[in-house]
Amino acid sequence: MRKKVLSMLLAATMAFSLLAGCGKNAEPDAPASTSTAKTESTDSSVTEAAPADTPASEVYKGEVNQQTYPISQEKITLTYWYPNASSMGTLADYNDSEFFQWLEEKTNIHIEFIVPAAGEESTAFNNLFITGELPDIMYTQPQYHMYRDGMDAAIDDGYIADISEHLDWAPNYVSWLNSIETAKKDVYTDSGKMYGFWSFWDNIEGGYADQGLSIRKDFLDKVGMDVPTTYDEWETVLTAFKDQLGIEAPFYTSKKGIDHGEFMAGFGIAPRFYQVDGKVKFGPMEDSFKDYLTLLNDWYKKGLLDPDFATRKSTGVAADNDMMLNDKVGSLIDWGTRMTDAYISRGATNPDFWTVAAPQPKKSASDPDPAWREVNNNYRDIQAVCLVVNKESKHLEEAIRWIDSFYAKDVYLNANYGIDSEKDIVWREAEDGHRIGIYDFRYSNPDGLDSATVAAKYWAKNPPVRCEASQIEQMPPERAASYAVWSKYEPKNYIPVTVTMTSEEKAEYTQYYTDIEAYIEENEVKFIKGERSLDEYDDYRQTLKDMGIEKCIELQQQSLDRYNNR
Amino acid sequence: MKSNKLLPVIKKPFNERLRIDFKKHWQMYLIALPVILYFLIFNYAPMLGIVMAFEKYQIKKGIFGSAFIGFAHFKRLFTSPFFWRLVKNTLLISFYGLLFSFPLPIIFALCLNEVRNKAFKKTVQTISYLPYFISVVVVVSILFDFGKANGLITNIASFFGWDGGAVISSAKWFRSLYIGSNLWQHLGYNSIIFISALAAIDPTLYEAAKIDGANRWQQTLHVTLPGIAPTIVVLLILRLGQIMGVGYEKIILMYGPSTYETGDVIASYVYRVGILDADYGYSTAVNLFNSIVNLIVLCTANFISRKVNDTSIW
Amino acid sequence: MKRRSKGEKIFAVFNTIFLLALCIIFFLPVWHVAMGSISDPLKVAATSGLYLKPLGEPTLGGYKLIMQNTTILRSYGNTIIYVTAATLFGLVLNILAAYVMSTKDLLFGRPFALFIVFTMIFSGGLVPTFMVVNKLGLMNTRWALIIPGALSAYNIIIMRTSFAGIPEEMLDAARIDGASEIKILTRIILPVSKSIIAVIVLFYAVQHWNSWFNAALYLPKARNLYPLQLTLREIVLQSTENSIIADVDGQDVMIFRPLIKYATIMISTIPMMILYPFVQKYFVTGVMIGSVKG
Repeated sequence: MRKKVLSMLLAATMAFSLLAGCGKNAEPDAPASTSTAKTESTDSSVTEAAPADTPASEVYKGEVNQQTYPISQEKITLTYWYPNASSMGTLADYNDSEFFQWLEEKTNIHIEFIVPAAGEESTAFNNLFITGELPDIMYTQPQYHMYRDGMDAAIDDGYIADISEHLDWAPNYVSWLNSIETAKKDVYTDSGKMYGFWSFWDNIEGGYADQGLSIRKDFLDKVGMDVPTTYDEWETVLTAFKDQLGIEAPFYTSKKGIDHGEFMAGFGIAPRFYQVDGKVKFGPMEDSFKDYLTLLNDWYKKGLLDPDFATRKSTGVAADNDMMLNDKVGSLIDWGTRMTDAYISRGATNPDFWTVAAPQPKKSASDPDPAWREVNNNYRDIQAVCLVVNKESKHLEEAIRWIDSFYAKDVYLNANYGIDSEKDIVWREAEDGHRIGIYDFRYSNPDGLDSATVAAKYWAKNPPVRCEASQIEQMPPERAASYAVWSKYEPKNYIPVTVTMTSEEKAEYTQYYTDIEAYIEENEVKFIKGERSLDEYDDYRQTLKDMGIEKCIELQQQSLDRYNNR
Repeated sequence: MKSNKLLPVIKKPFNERLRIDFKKHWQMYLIALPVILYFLIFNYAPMLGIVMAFEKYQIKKGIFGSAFIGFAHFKRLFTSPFFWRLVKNTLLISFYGLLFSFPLPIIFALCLNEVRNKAFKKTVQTISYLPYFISVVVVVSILFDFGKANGLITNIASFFGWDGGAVISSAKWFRSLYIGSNLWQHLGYNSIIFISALAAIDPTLYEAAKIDGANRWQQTLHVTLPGIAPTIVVLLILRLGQIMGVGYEKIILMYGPSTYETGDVIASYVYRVGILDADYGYSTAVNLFNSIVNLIVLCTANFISRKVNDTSIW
Repeated sequence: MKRRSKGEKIFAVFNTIFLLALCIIFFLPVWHVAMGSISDPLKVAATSGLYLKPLGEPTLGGYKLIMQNTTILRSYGNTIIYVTAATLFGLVLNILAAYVMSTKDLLFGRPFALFIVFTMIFSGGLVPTFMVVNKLGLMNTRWALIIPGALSAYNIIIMRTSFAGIPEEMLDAARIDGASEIKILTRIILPVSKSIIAVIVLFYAVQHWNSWFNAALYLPKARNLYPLQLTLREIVLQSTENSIIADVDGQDVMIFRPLIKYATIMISTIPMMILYPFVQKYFVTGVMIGSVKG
């Protein structure tokens, strides 16, 4: 029965793509596939690599797996560059993972993992191109692992396959593209090619926020106040922390002095580049930034900030451990995973230690909510992980189909929660049918494995479709509550990581921006501490202009425009 | 190389000298062969890659196929508003580092040499070289603790009149902290070569000096120091040849916006550039610039040394 | 034993105190790391500064966690192979180079010296070196960690300075007797150069013991060949709290996290502590007559 439905869907897909192809000069399939795969759709005419022509699909987010298995009649081996050394736990090889063993049986493809040394992944990635021998598949985080001249160049220079030429081999992926309105902008390059398989979040409505403002609830209780929502309320609270409780750092920033954006969003600004309705802006150049720095300077004088912020080691999210654990911090920007009793188990000296999420403050309660969220890696539905395929791979089709499998629900559920046969051991089923990871299995593992090894052994790390729910359900409710507070902010003003500059733009940008960033960092600290008077702010902005900030903004704008036109 | 300055030397024609030389030293040249081969393969072949400093290097086009852009990378480095600051910081850290951490291992080795008890001597030696193996991350983290607002170093500094707050975030203190912690970590290891050189001094020279009535101090002056003088001079020249070589790793761990002014060096700057855009051509150009400065300093030092006391590397 | 003068005695006392003080200062960071590695991890996280004694209840949990990692033993073995082979290889070439460089009146003596010195100053950098190693087919083999970087111009120059101090007469006498250069090297020079050889062996051994970057570069597909330092570095990175994609972190592994950074240092330093006394034995006087001008 299932096979019948499948072949119907396949036929439908073929039909649609034929129709789409007929609308233009349909060109024959590009590389002649050398595969021995037995799937039927190989010979359908390919669509042009233009965003408007993504083949249609009726399937919603891979609910039905449109690949047939096994993918290869003969057992073949694909090499897979997998920069996840730090997640291996005590596993010797990712093939020891139940999930990958299950997948190998299903697809008849053996994966040879190439795991570069932890910490040196970017260098290792570049070296792949220098040797010229690319593995078949590469798991990349484009922010850290990218061909120097950019995605289009990687494709044009013949290294990376343009997936848009092979969408017929990737029906599950296509179903995702069609289910997400905004996906087209992010998955296509400026020139309309497809660099690789971008990763998605399933069920993002659950809300996901890496980080946000966090405040000590037990301190608030002691001074009898509520979580502040406006800057004035914050000032009152921080003053109480300082005067009544003697907290050394009522508001903790980092050695840079400014926050990551959550605190300043109420002024309508962001730490560096951001966008408002498609127009790129730069925080420090805005008038409101001066107001923000004035506030910080004022608070610094009043002792409401960390008086020795310049001596800290942390870079802005989470505080130096010894300060946090010894009650020296009243509020800070923290990781989502640290809300609740995480600090107590880490050695907090105060047994009442408790933090809760705080909303981004506003100037007055009637202001609209700020629109800032720092989402370096998880932007809307897209994760900043892209699986790319070697253009010269001997098994191009199998590689693409193998990756495509992850976009089908049956596979990605296994990848996120554990394979089917581990039901009620590794995961259980909730009433509405979706899966929930069993907390004790991971954290009090019967075989004595540590949690990192459990994850590596039973699941796949950051699979192309990642179930948001698998994170939240394993969470204590307090943490989920924090996420709820933070994730109501839409990352409207954030510039997506999928906005890319050309290599000429990047070279020019770097030339100016490295110096500008150093200058800004130095001066922000000086302004906050009062070592430089804020009356000189206009001179400061003029210097920035002389250093080329307007050119940098222009370059960012160009990139953003191209992105919006995809 | 010694030259006899008294008699005029009539040089034989080159071919003649070549023949004589090979006849006398052919074995030497044979011995030198594997060394030459090694360096040719692993040092000189890669050195060809220096052309990247003049190119817009693209992996696809390769080292010799990338577009030639002349001195563009250098221009970019030199026109950075921070260039002079970076050079100044690099040189000052190097120079002050040299001033303090060059003599101290020697003095340490000399003091150690005076110890009669062999067991004590060996123990001190071993302990002194252990900090070398502590990772720089741990050392910097200890430094941060000593240098923070109520930290040990800050308190001592305040006692002597310093009122600028935590030393770790003070631009005025950066160099001292950097060099001081380097000293702490490396003094023992750097003294090993001197300990070895001291051990290699002919004991009969000491005997002769004692017979002449020299006390320990005079012996040190007239036997010991001259005995290790070549080692000292050569190491000094080598050290000068690394004047631009302040590495980025420890700097990155230690510095912050409040200490960029004195702490940001060429290497840390290039590191930050590399994060935004990994341009191999640019980093090669910067390295070339450093190398040339190193070369000039090295040659000068070698030349002066040769003229002054006949010790030189070439 | 000759009696020391009063001045010398006073000096000896001050010297001893001075050296003892230095000893304490040098030993402190090592002690700190040792204490940190067996402390209660929660207290380690909460306490900054120098640890003078184990915080809380001493525990070997950090070490146990590291040892659970089956690759450690293998990496230890790998490193011993690399250090031995690379040091030996480098030492032989080093001796040859220093000998040639210390020979006077070689017509090509100066060019040879410059040839060597030049390699200390100029370098093509990461990419070209990587390409050469790749072209030679050394990638993913043990040789990649034994041969590249085995010979150091710096060490050659140091050894050459020592060789140059050996009196000319001894060598000339042997040459007149018709001895080959190799014989001179092995029969005359090496026996009196035990001290400098010991130092150079130490320098190379420590260099190779500490190295991890070459392994990261040249062994992309051969994790089983990783040396100790690289494996330890990975373990430390695994346990560090920088969450790029915030993951659910658990209570168990994380408990010993703060200790891991210290325990790994102890593991990799103890062999070095054992090595040095062996090397010290050779810091003995050579048989040298005459002045030692270069």
